[in-house]
Amino acid sequence: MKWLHNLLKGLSLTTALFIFQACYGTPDWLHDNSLEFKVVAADTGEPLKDVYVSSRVQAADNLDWIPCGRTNENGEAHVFFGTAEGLYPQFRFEMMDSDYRVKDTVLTDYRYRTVEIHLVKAE
Amino acid sequence: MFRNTLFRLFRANETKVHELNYLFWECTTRCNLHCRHCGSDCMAASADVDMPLADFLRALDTIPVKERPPEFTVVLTGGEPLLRPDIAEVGRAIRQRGVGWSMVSNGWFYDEAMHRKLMGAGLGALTISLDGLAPEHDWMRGREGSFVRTERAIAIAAAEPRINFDVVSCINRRNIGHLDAIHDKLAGLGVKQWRIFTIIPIGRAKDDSDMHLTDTEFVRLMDFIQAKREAAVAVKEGPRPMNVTFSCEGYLGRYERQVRRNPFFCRAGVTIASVLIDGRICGCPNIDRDAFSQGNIYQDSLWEVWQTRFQPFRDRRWTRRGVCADCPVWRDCQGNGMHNWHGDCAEVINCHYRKTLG
Repeated sequence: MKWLHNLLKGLSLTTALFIFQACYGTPDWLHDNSLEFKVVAADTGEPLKDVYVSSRVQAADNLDWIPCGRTNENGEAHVFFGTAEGLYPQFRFEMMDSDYRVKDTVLTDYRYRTVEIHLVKAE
Repeated sequence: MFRNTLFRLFRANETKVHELNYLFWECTTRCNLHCRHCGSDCMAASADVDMPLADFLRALDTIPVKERPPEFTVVLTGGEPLLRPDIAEVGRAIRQRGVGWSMVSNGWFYDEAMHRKLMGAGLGALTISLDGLAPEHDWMRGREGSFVRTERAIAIAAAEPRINFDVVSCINRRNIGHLDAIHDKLAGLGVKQWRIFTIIPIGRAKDDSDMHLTDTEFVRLMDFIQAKREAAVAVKEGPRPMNVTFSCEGYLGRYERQVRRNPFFCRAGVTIASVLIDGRICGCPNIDRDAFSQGNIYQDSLWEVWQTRFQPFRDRRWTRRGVCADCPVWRDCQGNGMHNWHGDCAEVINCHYRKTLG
């Protein structure tokens, strides 16, 4: 019963039941940080496919950008990312071989939701 | 009693839904160490060549995006994954698919430069093995200097807030006397999670008597973990003490709710699959691959195999044989972990429940 599975999973009190480590595996991913991005062209509003999304922790400029997703044909990318206590995650959106400018953004509220990103073409 | 019943219902439902959320990839069987307890008998010059990344990605891509739950993770294991020269490329390719990845390592090659490289490739969780203080660890790992290297790796990983990191220790007859010393060493290194397991009699460990705890020692280990967990709960202020836990390797009877967060539930083939070095598809990599492999990515679709096979994993009634046939706790144990069934599977090779009886 998928509905029961989803219901239990959605209840914070039972989340622990879904977090486990296989005997010789690793701990679970820090998957509580999860976002849905929708990337569109600023001028037309059309969704943009194959935009690479990467993240890093704000104020940690010496750290590399971590790739965390790529948009589909609807311009959507579901991403997971790491954070550090007291610091906000920073995201970069980059469309290779295109006129669209790279966009960086910092999110101060990153509870699960959809964030729309507008990419602007270079002049 | 009521809690047990509820948990059985939960387990039955999870088994019916069988949502794949944890995929091991045995990306190499090469290893720079020669561990006494190695279940895979891996070695520096393995007969198996590393599986090409493209082959694994083709298998991964058979899983529809909408069927991947948010916590879906690819766990790189081996051998020693860091022996793969393309390890960062592997991580990036997985992350670019919107999938998290993690790794189990012996820590030998894990220095600052490697850490940076892997963080840049999106590493989300990491497990490093430490099997005692220097003499016992190096003895266990079969290579002098292992402890120093592993200690360095642990210090680096423990200081990184962006990954979920733990240390695993294989407790055996040589290191059981040093549990408190190992605990204090790890806590001093800043480790927040310490996971303990014991050794199943397979691979190199099968005939090594030093590897296997007596029942009395096993109970002593359980008592140690229980005491550490109770002490941690009692701490109400200041930094949280290190979380000590027993692995999910078997059903523990009276210790079930005392030494780990959740009751025993072997999820192999229920939420866990693996792609082995030769392409075979199985549950966890330490399960008897000759007996329980369900297909091969070079002939089958990983997703189709997951959806349509794995019956021995999802209906464990076949384990009611040998000592399990009339066991009073079978409904909760269900034949122990799948990795405890090998060869002709006539008998479970390791019964944790009986050990807890002392």
